[in-house]
Amino acid sequence: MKLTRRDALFATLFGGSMIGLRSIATGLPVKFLLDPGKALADLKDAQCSIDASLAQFVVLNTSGNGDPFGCNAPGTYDDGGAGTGTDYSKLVHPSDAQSGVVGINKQTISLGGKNYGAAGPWSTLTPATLSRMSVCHLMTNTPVHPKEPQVLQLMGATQYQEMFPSVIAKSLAPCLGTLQAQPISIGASSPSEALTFGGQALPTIPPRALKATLTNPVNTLSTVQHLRDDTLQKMHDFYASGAVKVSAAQKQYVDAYITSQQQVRNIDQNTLAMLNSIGGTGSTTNSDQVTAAIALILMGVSPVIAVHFPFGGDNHADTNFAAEAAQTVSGMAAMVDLLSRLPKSVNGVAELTDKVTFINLNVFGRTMDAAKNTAGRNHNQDHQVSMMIGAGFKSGVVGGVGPSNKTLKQGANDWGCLKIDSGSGVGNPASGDIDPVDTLASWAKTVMRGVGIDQATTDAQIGSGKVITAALAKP
Amino acid sequence: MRRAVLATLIATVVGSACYLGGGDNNGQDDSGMDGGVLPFTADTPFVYVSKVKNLLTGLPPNQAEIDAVLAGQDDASRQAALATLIQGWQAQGQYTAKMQKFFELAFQQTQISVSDLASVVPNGNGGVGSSAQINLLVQNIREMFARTVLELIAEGKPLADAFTTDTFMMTPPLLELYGFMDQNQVDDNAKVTDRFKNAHPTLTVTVQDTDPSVTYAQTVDSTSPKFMNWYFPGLNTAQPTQPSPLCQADTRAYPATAHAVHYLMYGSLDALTVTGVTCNSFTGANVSSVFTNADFATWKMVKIRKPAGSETVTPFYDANALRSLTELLVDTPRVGFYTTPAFASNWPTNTSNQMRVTINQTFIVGLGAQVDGTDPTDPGANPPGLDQTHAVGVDCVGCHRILDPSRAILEATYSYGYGLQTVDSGLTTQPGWFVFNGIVDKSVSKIGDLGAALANHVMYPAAWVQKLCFYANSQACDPTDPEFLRIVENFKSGGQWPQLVQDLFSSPIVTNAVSTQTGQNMGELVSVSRRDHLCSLLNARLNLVDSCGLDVVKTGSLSGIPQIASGLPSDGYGRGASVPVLPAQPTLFFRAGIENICEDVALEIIDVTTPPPGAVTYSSSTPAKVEAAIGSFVGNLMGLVPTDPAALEMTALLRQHYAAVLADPAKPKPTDALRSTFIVACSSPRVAGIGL
Repeated sequence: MKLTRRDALFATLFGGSMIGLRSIATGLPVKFLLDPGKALADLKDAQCSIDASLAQFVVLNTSGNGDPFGCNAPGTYDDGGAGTGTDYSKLVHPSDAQSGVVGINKQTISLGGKNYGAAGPWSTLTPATLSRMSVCHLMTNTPVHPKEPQVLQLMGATQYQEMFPSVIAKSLAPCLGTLQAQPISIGASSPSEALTFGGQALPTIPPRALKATLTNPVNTLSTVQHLRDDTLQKMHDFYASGAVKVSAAQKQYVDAYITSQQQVRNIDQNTLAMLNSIGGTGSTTNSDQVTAAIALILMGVSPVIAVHFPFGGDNHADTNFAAEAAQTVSGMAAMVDLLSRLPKSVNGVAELTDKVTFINLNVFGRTMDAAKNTAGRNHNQDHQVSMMIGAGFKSGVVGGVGPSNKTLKQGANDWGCLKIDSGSGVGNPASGDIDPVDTLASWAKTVMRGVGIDQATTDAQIGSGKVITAALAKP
Repeated sequence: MRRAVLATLIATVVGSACYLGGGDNNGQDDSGMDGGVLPFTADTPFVYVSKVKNLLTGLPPNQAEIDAVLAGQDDASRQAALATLIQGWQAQGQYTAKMQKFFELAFQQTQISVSDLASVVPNGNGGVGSSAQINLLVQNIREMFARTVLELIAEGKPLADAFTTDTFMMTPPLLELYGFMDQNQVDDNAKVTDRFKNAHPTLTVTVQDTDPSVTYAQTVDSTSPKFMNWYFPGLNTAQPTQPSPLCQADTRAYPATAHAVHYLMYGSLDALTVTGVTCNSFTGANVSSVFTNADFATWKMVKIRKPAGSETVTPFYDANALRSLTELLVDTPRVGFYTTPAFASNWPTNTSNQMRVTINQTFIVGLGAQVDGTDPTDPGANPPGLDQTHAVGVDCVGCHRILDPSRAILEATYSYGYGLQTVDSGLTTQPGWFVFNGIVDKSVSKIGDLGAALANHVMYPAAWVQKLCFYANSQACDPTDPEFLRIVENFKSGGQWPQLVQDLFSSPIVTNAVSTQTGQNMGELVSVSRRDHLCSLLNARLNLVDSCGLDVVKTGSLSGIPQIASGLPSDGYGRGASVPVLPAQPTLFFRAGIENICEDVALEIIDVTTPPPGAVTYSSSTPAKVEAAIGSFVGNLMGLVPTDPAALEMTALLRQHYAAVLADPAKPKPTDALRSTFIVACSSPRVAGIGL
């Protein structure tokens, strides 16, 4: 085969038309570039178009490592009496004795009035938390780590391939009155987990950088900060006035820069004291992330905060599931910590526990077959568990596990998610109005509804799947 | 019209990116374009000379440089004048530092920490260790290949030579690491073979603090009776707490493992079992390390090769010998960027992944493209290493028929722990095929052939021009742009990196002096000054050693800034991504961070008695000094030469600010006023952005 340079360029990075290149160059999704008129109409609206009282802050836990979070979740030990026909004895879970980690053994928890087995740490969630926790068995349809961004784009289901955290952030920001509409990642362990907004890469802000970044040192210089703001505003005005020739891009930059200055000044400096407990050295801890997430919510900086609580990591080689067990304990403890440390009120108005929703989504789940996963787990594109904890959700397990989807390869002869009946939430290998391949988009639509976003916006932003009404507190 | 709508759209929602109209080459607004199209506005030499010099050195332009470009009678002569200036800048140390950062990222040698090295130095006892000097070693690991590339370039060699080089810039501690890794081999099943231990089956490593007469030379001399007798002064002082008195003997016998010796070289103590009691390990004391901190800053080119004939591997434990040698003899081959410990620990593989991540990242680095299932290349029948469970079905075979025979090149040489391949004889006897985008090369016979195949691939020249485009513009260049193709053609002829830098950075594709196809299709992007650029700017313009604390080998970081800098937007690369992650928008975090960084710097260099050594300093003691400081803020920090159309206004605004602060009811002192004025200049869009 003879390949010209042009052929090679077109065939790979840049595709057969300029669209792919434009997408890369601008950060704008291909769909956006293909249908610009519609895109403009869809994206220029920054008004709160939903019932603002229902709008939720969202904490998203995501891992590009594909942690085995879902391998020990409710619905992998039994089906709570749903009658899925699955032989759960064939699924492997860590134990106290084998892993050496105390507290990982199966416990029974109550969700939606039904009893489910789950790894021990799940039983540390309070009854109040369990009463608003929905556990959804779904599939991401990819077994490869680099697809983390695509999974966050719901594998092509979002409009203009926007990342799901950004989709919900855009809708929630004007209703929550946050300083910025962009989500914030404080937990991304590598650029592979970085978020984008409107196709633009967003920086990751480690918790320990937050305080040093946002705090105004209290000294004489801070008393004249307003004078510096005034001078910088005048510099902006000079460039914007056309006194010197500037391009449109240059003017947009100075406009954005001065806007960011205004946003900074709206940060509540008193709340920053919360960040004092964040460690100064070493790796970012779960506790650091919890502290930072709560502070950012209290300051109203962004509607969506992304964290990364490890639940076992990329544990191909994990003898006796020791790492999985240990991090399931620590990861669940971080969730408990987050939920318990949410203050009782925001500006004295509402319980913050009623204003914050916790969700999680990993790039993929991991294999669970007891016969083949004896010292670690492989990637599983057919099964992943995402949970929702918040005022908008109804306690229960949605879907379940069964033999892998026959059309898919990676998880073949392992375990995958079942079809879901959107009305009852019951998983079934044969019946249900949501096919496994649509479970990711359906989960996302359900999250949108549960955090206060209306049906029309939900349908407009996510092109496939359907809302799982069984998971909603108010369908 | 479609382009018009598109232009409006992108300008509306992206913010900093805009689509340009057709435009002309005279630098005038094209106000005649139909509604919605952002007119092309040519950047002036005041803007683009500043941008280019900042990107390449961090320094501001001077009046003579601006004038040299302005003197050009037409676009071509101005472009040529800029190219000449760039050639001069390339001789400056700041340019070398900037290029080093570029190559560290481009060859994906960064984004690693001590813990990541455990994947390539595993033995259950803490990887490479955790002494205070280990962070210096990790930085050496990050920098090694970039420094190698710079040296090859300085020797006049083409960039492609870096793909096949077996000679690297190394420090004595790096040589020790390579030698140690060669002795501490891990196979596909994570089994460690300690070749040092096997070679010395009856040896004991003695650690004692009773006989100071034992010299290090004796310790590492295999013919000496004191071989592996380590004098460790203050042995028990270093470990006052132990689980048993047995652990606090003045003379201790360690098993003769490579790992124990490696630890001792850093003044550390491996864990030790004494009559059933596991004694604590010790992270290390620099006083007992055989390496000085200067060793981590002493670089030289060293050829790495296998022993030949009666030669034996280089003893990794003889630091004195390592300091003087020019060849390192090890059994593990090291060639190009894809065999470095940095690359290996960046992209750890395992028995499931089987080197696929490694080869994919190798393609991304070398050729700017990943395996994503769209490559139509057919390797033909029976490609080596093809995973049969993925050999059928459109979901799998599209990637696996490319990945699997290519990763077999790596598997034939290396284990999944990046030691020598010893487990699977089928792999070692089948060296794999190079299969990627139109090329099927079945003649691969050794690991170095992979680098050669990359360097000879048709995609190589454009890929590296494109990487430099991302560095310059924070976005891609249009690969069909005639100007881009011209630069690629020039690069293909000789492959000289300095020439490519001159070609690209003087080109309107970067300067925006003339409308280009890239500008029309991609638009101009004014980006925030990401961490490396901002910190380089502060270092270069204020003569600070390491303003952001990014270099652990150097000293001189300013208090508070490293914490802030860790949250600044920075260049990065993601797994499986062929384009870098380049946050460009000025978020509130960036705005807040740069203000606090500027304040920290102001506190260090204005009206202080002990500023950082060599730093540019300012004084508010007299009106003349204040005026000089403001002049420097504008000219040096903001990079506005006296004839710049914005210089007068910026100077006036800073003067007004200084006066306004003094007049504030809080009655700040002149020191505060000048510091506040510095902060304004330092956090102005001219410093915070690139391309303004």
